Order: sequence, then structure tokens, then C-alpha cells
Amino acid sequence: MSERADAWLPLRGVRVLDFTWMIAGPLGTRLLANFGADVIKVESYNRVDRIRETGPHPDGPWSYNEDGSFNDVNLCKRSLLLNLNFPQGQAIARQLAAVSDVVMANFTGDRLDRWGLGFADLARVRPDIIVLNMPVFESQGERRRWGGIGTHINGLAGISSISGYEGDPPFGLGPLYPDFSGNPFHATAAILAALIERDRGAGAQFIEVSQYESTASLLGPALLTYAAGGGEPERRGNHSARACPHNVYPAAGEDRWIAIAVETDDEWTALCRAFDREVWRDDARFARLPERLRHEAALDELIAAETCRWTAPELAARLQAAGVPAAPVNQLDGVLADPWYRGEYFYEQQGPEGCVFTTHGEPIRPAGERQPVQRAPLLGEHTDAIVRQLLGIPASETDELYAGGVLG
Amino acid sequence: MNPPSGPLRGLRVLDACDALAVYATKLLVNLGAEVIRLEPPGGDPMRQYPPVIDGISTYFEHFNAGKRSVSLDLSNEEGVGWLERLVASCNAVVESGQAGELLSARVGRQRLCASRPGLVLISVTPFGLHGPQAAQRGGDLIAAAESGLLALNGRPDAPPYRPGGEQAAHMAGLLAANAALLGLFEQQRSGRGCHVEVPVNFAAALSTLQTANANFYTWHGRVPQRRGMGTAAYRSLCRARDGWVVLIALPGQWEKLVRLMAEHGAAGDLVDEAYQDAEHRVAQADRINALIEAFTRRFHKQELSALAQAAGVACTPVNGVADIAADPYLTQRGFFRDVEHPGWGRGVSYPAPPWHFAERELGTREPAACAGADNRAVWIEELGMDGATPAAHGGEAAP
Repeated sequence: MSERADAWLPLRGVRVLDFTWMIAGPLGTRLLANFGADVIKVESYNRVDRIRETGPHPDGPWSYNEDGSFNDVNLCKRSLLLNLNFPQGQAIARQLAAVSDVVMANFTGDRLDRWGLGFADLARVRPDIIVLNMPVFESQGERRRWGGIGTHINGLAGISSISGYEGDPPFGLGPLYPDFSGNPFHATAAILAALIERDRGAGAQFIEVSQYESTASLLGPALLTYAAGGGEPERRGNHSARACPHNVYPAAGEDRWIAIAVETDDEWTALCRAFDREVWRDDARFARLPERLRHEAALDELIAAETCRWTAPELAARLQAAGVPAAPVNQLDGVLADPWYRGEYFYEQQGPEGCVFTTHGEPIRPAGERQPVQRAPLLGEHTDAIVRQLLGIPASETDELYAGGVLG
Repeated sequence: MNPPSGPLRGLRVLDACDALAVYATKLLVNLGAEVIRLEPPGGDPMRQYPPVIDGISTYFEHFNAGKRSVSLDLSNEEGVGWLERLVASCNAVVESGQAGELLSARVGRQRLCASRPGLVLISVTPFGLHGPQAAQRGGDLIAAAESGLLALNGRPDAPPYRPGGEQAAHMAGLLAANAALLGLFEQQRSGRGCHVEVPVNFAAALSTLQTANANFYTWHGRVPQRRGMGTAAYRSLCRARDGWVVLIALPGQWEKLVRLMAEHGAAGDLVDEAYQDAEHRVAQADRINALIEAFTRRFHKQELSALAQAAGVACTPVNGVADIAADPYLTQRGFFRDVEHPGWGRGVSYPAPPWHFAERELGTREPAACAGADNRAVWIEELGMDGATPAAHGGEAAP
């Protein structure tokens, strides 16, 4: 894509050997690739990234290359098919590490060590290598083989316990939230800081991001409150301890909602005016935040009786125009119908096998503009280029490696 | 204050974030940067955010531990001049808030960037700095709602809810920290600066990537909905004696789960070969779930998780905050760190940084500074400002 030539690519010249799969790892290396790193994604027919199979898939003949989620989290990367169960495969991986700045993996605990690709092995071939592993628990120790996916970690790390309503089972979140938040982006922050330190002459660095710890970190205030003697947080749905009214309210239509978040007394006054209910403003029960919080249920009921007469987008626009923070509770179709999201967030890409992918955007916007990206690679698209051009392995040898199933 | 350690030591960041992205500068503290929080005269309103325990906001304390603090009155020209001097000593400025209220909006972005050639400036706003919604207001709830994240949570017969703990703001903070690090990496190599924005609504939208992957709609017209317990075939939450566990037989784990249940005489007819067929299991989902839950109810959640993981089945407890605080595994890993807070008069366990750099301790063991605690050290001793004109920093006495 020609736009990439002029894009802000601060990581140009940085190479990442990427053994991560599913989402938590690949979404992190996607950020590095989007900003210029040469990310080499390693798979093999023996161990195809399972995210290629989870969907959505387009109608028509099934292909590894047309999974919506895979193509979303692997933008701008190169794909290498290399079977690490063969000693020759492990040797090629070490050759690649020798010309890489970063190696990243998210297998259960000690998988890399068992392939001879542990930190000590890699530091031998590249003395200033940065290796990051992101196990669910730990790389060594009793829980090194314990596993799980984002759904587990939502429960394990306490996200489920602080989301939703008192009395309900801990449904947690619909999205596998840890895969999109702390796990990928704590990892990339650590890598970027280590790269800065490496440029100042630091040697090899092993970094571990335990997905349990990384996700529990996102509950920071609740953990500190508990430690300071404040007890367990209540599950307060959409309510807030420092803003009121602060909730989702029914809008016209079936299962349509509008979010309203009044943080200041000025916004409260503006809300009363926007609903033509100046009488609320003069009601002593709602005078200031402490009073409003005390009478939250009554206030929510009064507001819900007003909101249900409007469609969510209409009312949100009216409230915002009056200076009240509000937004429709969008579902996917609503987000995709928004021209701002379509033009500035989502990317549309023609896949080489026929379908058009709509992929989620890069929220990091240099100079306030959308970062241009390239489509995800086809399975094994760059195997030849990587082993022949980057490693200089002659065709006579690569033919044999292909035939033996080490490559491709 | 101890000299900062960690990979970013020697890099100075000015922190002008509100709740939308204050997590970004906390992460930079954890990586060893010197972060100076800019507060208005009278102190940052975040210092009052609940919960307040013994006069200390745990919210403020968590996000600002280990930062320095200076106060400054930007309503007069003298204050803006002091700001320019401070920015000249910084590698990066990270700011967040409503678009019109950002630091760069109040003093002028050109002027801010001119103070320090090669400055990395990161701006986090609810809906971006440009575009049709730039002037609109919002915080965590509004971003979670607008981005499509909120609608995915909860049971179908109750209102959907936002993720607990202000996760849209955490997403924005995570991405803003990464943006700052990308900028700092380039600045340290080439001296070039940058201005990068992170809209909170776009950051929140990223977390819907799989559950509400855009192609569900563009290819199939499908709009993913909240589904509470999930469908029978994709249920993952099971009751234990003392709460709940998440138990999913991931690919390749079904037989291991059945073997484990059989060892406890709880597998019933699940040992039949017919159940090895995934489609048959989907058809029999209710029956299977009943058998699994009869099994899981016999155990405590921690005990069952250990048992299942040892058998190769992915199972974790649903932990409350108290469970996490008491988890011996986390203690052994150093997940908590005792910090002496003068206001609490005792050591309190603060969450440690979310990563382990081998054989190093990163991050801080300092509490948050008092408002303006570093006024004298920064304004007068370091920058040589005239201490006799306290109008600039709001008259707060330098200690």
C-alpha cells in the first residue's frame, strides 16, 4: 500500500520473531507491525494458529486465509511456515532470532524451552535479544502448564466479580476482554521500553507478562481499596460513585438504550433543561451529587420515563448539544453505520482470495490521522522470502526442507 | 524519592491526564520514567475521587503512586511561561480530557511543542480531536456505550452493563502509553518529535474485535448480542461449593475432562464414544452441562481449578477482589508490594507492575506525592524560577 511509504513508522528496522497465536499475543505484535516493525509470524501445518478456525468466515469454500478474526489481529505481518518439532526447524528459528530484536510467545509456560528456544538459547545467538513470554500463569514453576483463554482470565483476575449487577451470577463480559487489553498492550509497552534501553546499550532481557497478573492489574483501585481496609467493591452495573445520573436508560425501540453520564452540577443543570424538567433541578433530593447519589433509584426512574420517548441517536445528539455526556448503546450494526467509524476506524481490504475484510482500526493516530495498514499475510506467504533472502539459505537446501516438512 | 530504575530511567514525562488516560502515565512510572504530575492550584480534583479511606482517595493513590507533583496556575501568562520552561525539560507530555479542556487546548499546541523541539505529545480525548464528534463530552461509560463494548455484557432480560473498573479508560491509557513509547523510541534514535492522538471510543472499540468482529455483520448480517450464561453449547460458568469456576473443555480437552470426572465417579454416560463427536455434544449440551455441574458443585473453586489443570483441563476460579488479595500464588510472585503511606501510617499492599523484567525490580515503592510536593525542587531549584512570584504556581508553599 503506497500510503505506508509516507506513514509514521518509528519501528522501521526492528524485527520481531513472533510465535504468538490466538489473540492476546498477535494483537500486541499487530501494534508493533502497524508502526513499522518487521513481524515474522511463525506457524506450521502441524500447528496452524487456531484463530484461523474460530470465525467469522465468509460464505463459499472454506479457507485458512479468510477468517475475520485472524485477518484482524495479523495486519502488516509476514507469515512463515516452520515446523519446530524438527531439529532443523529449531535451528532455523535460532538463525531468525539472531537477526531479530524481539522474540515473543504466548504458549503455556515452558514450551519455548522445550524447543531449545528458551531465553538462554536465544541470548547465545543474539546477545541483546528481548524475549517476552506471556503465559496464563508463569513460565517456570508449578503452574507453568496451567492454561486458559480470555473467558477464564475474566473470571480468574476479578473482572467478572466487579462487572454487572449484585445478585446475578458473575456473567462477566461478552468479549474475551483480557485478550484485547492488558495482555497485548502491557506486553508491547514492556517491549518498547526494553527497546529504548537496548538502544542505550543494555544486554539481553527476558520479560514475562503473566496474563493473570496483567489482567488483575486492571482492577488496581479496587485492589488498593481492599488492601487499605475498604472491603470488596459492590457490583454497581453502570452506576458510578462519583457521577449521577450515570446509567443506561431505555430508548424507543426493542432493547435500545442510551448511556448518560452526568459528572458535574453544570451537566446536571443542562440535563434538566434538555428534558424540559427544570423542576428536577429545583428538587432538593437532586441538588448536588451526594443528594443525587442518595436518591439514585428515584432519579433513574424519572429519567427512564423521559428517555423511552426518543430514539437513542436522536436523544444523544440533543443531550450532547446541551452539554450532557450521552451516547447510544451501539451494537455492531450501529457502529458500522456511523460514517466516522467507517471512515476513520475500520479498514476495508480486498483479500487475495476474493472476500472483502472489514478489520478493526488502530486507535493510535499519528498527527490525528488513521494509520495506514497492510492486509494480514496468507498462510506461508513469505516463507520463501524469509528463508532465502533474509537467511540466505540456498534453494538446494530449502527444497529439501520443504520436502521433509520442515518448511511450508 | 529513590532514583528511578527501569528501562526509561532519565526520561521525563509531564502528566496532564484526567481519569480518561491517567493509567498511561502510571505505566510509564512502572517502566522507570520520571513522571511529573501537573496540578491546578488547590490540587487535582482526582484527589477527592471515591473511595476515600482515612482522607486518602485510593483511586488517586493507585494511579499516581511514584509520580512527582507540581502545581501551576495556567490562568495567567506568567504560569504559561513557567509551563514552557518545564516542558523544555521533558521528553513527553501525555494529556487527556474533553477536547476543549486539554492542556494543549488551553495554552496552544504550537506553543507547547515549540517549548521543546522533538517533544512527544500524546492527546487522549473521548471522541478524537477532529471530526464531527470532537466537541462531544464523555468518559468511561460513554465510550463503552458508543463503541459497542457495553452492549455485549449481561443477560438478555436486563440492561447491558459496562465492564467494571472503568475499562474503556484503561484501554485508552494502555494505548496512550504505547503511543508515548513509540514516540520516545523514535525521539531517542533521531531526535524527532510527534503528536499522536488516541480517541477513547476507538480504544474501547478494539476490545470488541472478536466477539463483535465486523465481518459477522458485513458478511452475514449478524449482530452479536449479550447472552448472559451463554448458550447451552457454549456455557463456561459452573457452580462450585463456594462460588463459581470457568470451565471449558478447549480443543483436545474433552477426553481429559471425562477421564477426570470418571475418576470421581461423576462421568455418567459421558464415557460413551458417541460424545467424542462435537456435534453430538452440542445436541446433548443440557445433559452434559447438568453432569458437569453436579461434578463441579462437589469442590471448592480453588481446589477444583488445581485438580482440573493438573488433568490438563482449562479451569479457573471466579475470583473476587478478596480472593485475589489472599491468593498465595500472587504473593509468591510478588504481585503486591508494601508501600508506606504517611497518611495511613502503615504499610499497604499496592499492586506491583504488570510485568516481570528478569532479576530486576521495576516500578515504585513510593506513595503518591502531596499536591505541589515538588514545587520547590522543580520550579525554584531546578528551573530557577523566581520563588517570590507564587502567582504562577497558585501560591502553594513549596515545602
